[in-house]
Amino acid sequence: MIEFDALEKSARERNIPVIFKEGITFIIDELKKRKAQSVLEIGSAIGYSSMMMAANVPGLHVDTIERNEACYKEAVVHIDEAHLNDAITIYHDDALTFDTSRLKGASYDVLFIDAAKAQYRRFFEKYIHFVKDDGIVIVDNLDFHGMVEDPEKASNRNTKALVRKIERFRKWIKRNDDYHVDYIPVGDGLCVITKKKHTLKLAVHLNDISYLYDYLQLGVKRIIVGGPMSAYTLHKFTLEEIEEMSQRIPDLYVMLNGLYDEHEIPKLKRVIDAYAKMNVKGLLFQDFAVLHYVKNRYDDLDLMYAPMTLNTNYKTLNVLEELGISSAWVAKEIPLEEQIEIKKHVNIPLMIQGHGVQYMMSSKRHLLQSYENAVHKDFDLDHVMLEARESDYHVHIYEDERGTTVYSENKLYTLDLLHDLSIFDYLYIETNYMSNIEAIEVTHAYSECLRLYNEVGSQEYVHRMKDYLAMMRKISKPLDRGFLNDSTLYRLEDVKRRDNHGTM
Amino acid sequence: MALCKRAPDGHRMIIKKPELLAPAGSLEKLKIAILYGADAVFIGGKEFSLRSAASNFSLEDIKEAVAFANEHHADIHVTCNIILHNDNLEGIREYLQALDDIGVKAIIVADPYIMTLAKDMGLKLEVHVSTQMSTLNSEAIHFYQEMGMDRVVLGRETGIKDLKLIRKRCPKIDLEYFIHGAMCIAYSGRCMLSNYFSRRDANRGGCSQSCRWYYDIFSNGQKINASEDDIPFSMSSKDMCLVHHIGELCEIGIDSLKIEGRMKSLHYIATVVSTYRKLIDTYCEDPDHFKDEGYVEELEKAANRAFCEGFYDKTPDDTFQLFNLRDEHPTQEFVLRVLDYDEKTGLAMVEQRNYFKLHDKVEIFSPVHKNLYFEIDKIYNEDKELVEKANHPMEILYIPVPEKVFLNDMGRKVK
Repeated sequence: MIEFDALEKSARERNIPVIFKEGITFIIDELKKRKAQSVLEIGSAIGYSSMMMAANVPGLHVDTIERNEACYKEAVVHIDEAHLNDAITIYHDDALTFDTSRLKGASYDVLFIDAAKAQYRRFFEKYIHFVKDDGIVIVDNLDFHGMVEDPEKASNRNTKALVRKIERFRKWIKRNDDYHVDYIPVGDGLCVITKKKHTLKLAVHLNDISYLYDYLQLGVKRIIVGGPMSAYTLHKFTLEEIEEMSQRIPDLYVMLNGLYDEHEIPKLKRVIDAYAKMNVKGLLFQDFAVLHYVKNRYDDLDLMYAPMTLNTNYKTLNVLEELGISSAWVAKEIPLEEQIEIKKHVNIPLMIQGHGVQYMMSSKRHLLQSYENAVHKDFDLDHVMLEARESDYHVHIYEDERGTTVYSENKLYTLDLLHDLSIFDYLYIETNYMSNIEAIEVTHAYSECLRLYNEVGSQEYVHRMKDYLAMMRKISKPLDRGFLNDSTLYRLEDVKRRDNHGTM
Repeated sequence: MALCKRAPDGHRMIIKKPELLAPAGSLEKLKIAILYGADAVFIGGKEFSLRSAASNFSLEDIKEAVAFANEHHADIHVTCNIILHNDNLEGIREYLQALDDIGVKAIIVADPYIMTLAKDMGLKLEVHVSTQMSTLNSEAIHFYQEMGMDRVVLGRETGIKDLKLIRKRCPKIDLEYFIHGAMCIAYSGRCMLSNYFSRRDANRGGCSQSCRWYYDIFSNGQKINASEDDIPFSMSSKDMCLVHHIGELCEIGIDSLKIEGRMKSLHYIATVVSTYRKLIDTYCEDPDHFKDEGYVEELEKAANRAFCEGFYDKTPDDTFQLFNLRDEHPTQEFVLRVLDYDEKTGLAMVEQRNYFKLHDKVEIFSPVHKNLYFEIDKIYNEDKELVEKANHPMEILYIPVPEKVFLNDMGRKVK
C-alpha cells in the first residue's frame, strides 16, 4: 500500500484532524471490494485521505471540498507533488453553500464526510442525492457508544449541544428505512450508511388477527392496529393481544390517535408505558400530549403524526420534526401534486393512503344515539349509512365509546398510480368496511404491483397492473380518486364563481 | 383560583376579572363591541384567516381598529388560523411583521409553522393557540408552553371538571374558553364534511356547514326515516350559552371568556357583549350575593338558534342538537341605532337598520343604561316631516323617546 506517512505525521503535529490509520485502511479495502470508481469527500483538510484513496485504488476519482483556505492551498501542493491531479479534483468552498452543479451531475459510489460534526444532517441531506443506489456514506463513529448514552458526561455546554446533535442525526438515520447503518469497530470506529434503493412499501390496517400471516406473506412491511384509546378503527385489540403481535411483527404500529380529555391522561401515559416495553415500533398520534410524553422519554418509539386533515404543507412538517415527530401521514384532501411537493421538501418518512374508505369527520358526541332518542326509534348502529339530500356522496357512520366517526362509502384507489406514488415511503391500505376476503385480495393486488414495479420494472408493472385493476374493481367498490386530482376552494369569490358556472 | 379581596363592608370582591373577548366581522361591529364592553376583540385578516365569508380586515382596517381599541383601553387579536397548504406559504413573514408594527396584541394561530415563525421573528405580539388545534389537556398545553406560546384557546369539548384540573396544572399560561356562540359538531380542525360534500375547504375558511344539512339514514340498507313525517338525520348543534356558569369561570381564574360570532350581526354583538359585561362586572363586584336574573332573557333576544351548554357538564345528547324544523327562531329585530338626543325636544336622531313603523314597540338597549321600552308614536324624516314608516336602510329619522339616550344605543322591535 502506498502511504503518505510524512504527510500524516506533519498533520498530527500541527493538530490538523486526520483519519486514524485503521480507518483509512478500512475505507481503501471497502473501495476495492466495491470496485468503486468515484468518491465525494467533504473535508479535504490537507489532502491526506483523498490522496490515500486515489493512490491505493486503481481507477478511482475523488472530488473533495475544503473550506479552509490554508488547508486547501497546502492540499493542492501535496496532490500536485504526488502527481495525483488527474485522480483528485479539489474545490475550495464551504460544502454547505457549494454550488453542486459544479459536480456536473456526477454520482458517487462513496460519500465520505470528514467535516464539522454539527452539520452532519445538512451535509447528508445536501449530498445524498449524488450517491448511487447501494452506494455508501462513511462518517465517523457517530458516538455509537459512549458519550451520547450519558450526555452529562459531556463537559461543557457546546459539547453537550454537539453531542445532542450527533444523537439526533444517529436516531434520524436509524429510523429512516432508506438507509442502513453499520458500525465498523476499527480503531475509533466508523459508521457505514448504505443508501438502499428507495422503494414504496405497504402498510395495512389490521382489523382481524387471523389474517396476520397472510399479510406478512404478501410482503406487507408495516402492520397498523387499533388498541385501547384508539380512534378511527372498527376493531381494537387488547394490550395483551398487541404484546403478542409485537413479538411476531417486526414493524408494528399502534394507533394512539384520539384527542384526549384531561382525565384520560393518566391512562394514556400507562398505555404508552406499556407499548414502550413491548416490541412496538411506532405510534400514530394526533394529540400533542402523546408527543410531549414520549419525546425525551422513549427514544425508540417512532412518532408518526397522523392528524387526518392537517398535514397539508411541508414547512409545518419540518417544524414538527424539530419538535419531535419522526414520520407523518400526509393529508389526503389535497391533490397528488401537492402531496408529492410535500414529500420532496421533508426529510422524514411519509405515509400516504393508497386504498380504502376515506376518513371524513369525528365528533365526541354520540350522534347516532342522539338521533335514536330524538326520533324514538331503535336500530342497528353497526351498519349505518347517510345520504345527504344535497349531494350524491354517501357515507358510513359509526359510534364507539370515544364518539362518532364518518367515513366515505367510496374507496380511494391508486393501483395504477404507483409510479407517481413511489416517492413516498409507505402506502396505507385502510381495511375498515372491507370484508377479510376483499382486504386480502386488495392487498395482494397492491403487493404484486409494487413487487413488479420495484423488482422487475415499470413497463411490466403497467402491463400486468391492468389485470389486477380489473379484478380489484370487481371486489372492491365503489371506487373513487378522492382529492388526487381536485383542489378545494375556500375564498368566497372562487366559490361564487364556481357555483355560478356550475363547474370546478 | 381568582384573586379576591374584601371591601370595607366585608363583602368579597374578585379583583382579576377575566377578559371578555368579542368577535367582529367589520370595523363597525368592532367599535360597537368595544363600546358595549368588550375588553378585547378578535378579527380576521384578509389573508390566512378562517371565515373567509366574513368581511375580513385589510391592514388599513386593522390599523384603524387598533387605534380605536387603544383609545378605549381594549386589545385586538387577529386570527391567522388557517391550516396552510403549500400555496399559502408565501408572504406570512411580511404579514406578521406588518401586524406587529401596527400594534396588534396577539395573533391566533392553528399552524405550528406560524407559531414558531412568530416567535423566531422576535415579535412583540402574543401567539395564541387556536381552538382549531383541539387542545383538551394539560400535557398538550405544556407542549405549547415549551414552544413559547402565550395562550391556549381550549377546544369546545373541555368540560368544567377537566377545566379545573387544567387550570391547576397549567398555572403559568393564559387559558381562553368559549362561553357563547355557534358550535361545530365535530372536533375542530378535523372535519372534512364540507371538503367531501361541497369541495369547499373547511380548514381554510370555506366551510359549507354540511353538518347542518338533512340526511336520509339507513341501517342495514333499510331507510330509518322512511315516511314523509319522519325527521331526517342531521348533525346540527344548538348554540352554546354558558350564561349560568360565568361566576364559576370567574372563580376558577380563566383568563379570557370568548364569544364566537365573526359572521354574526351588529345586534348580536351589542346584545351579547353588553349582557356578559354586566354579568361579569356584577358578579365580580359581589360574588357571594350575585343573582342570576335577566341575563339569559336578554341573550335570547339576539339568538337565532336555541341554546345549550355544550360540553360544560357532560357529553351533549339529543337535546343539545337541532333536529326538528331547524329550531331556529327569528331574533328580535334590530331596527335602529341612536345617533343623538335633544333633551329639549325629547327627540332622538336615529339611523334606520331595519323596517319599522308607527306604533311599533321598541326596546332601546345600551352599554350605559337599563333597557328602555316604549311605543313609537311619531316618526319624522330628515326634513322633520311626519312619516308613517321607516323603510330605507340607513336613513336618518327622528323619534320621540321618553328618556335620554346616547350615541350607539340600539333599538330592537319587541312584542
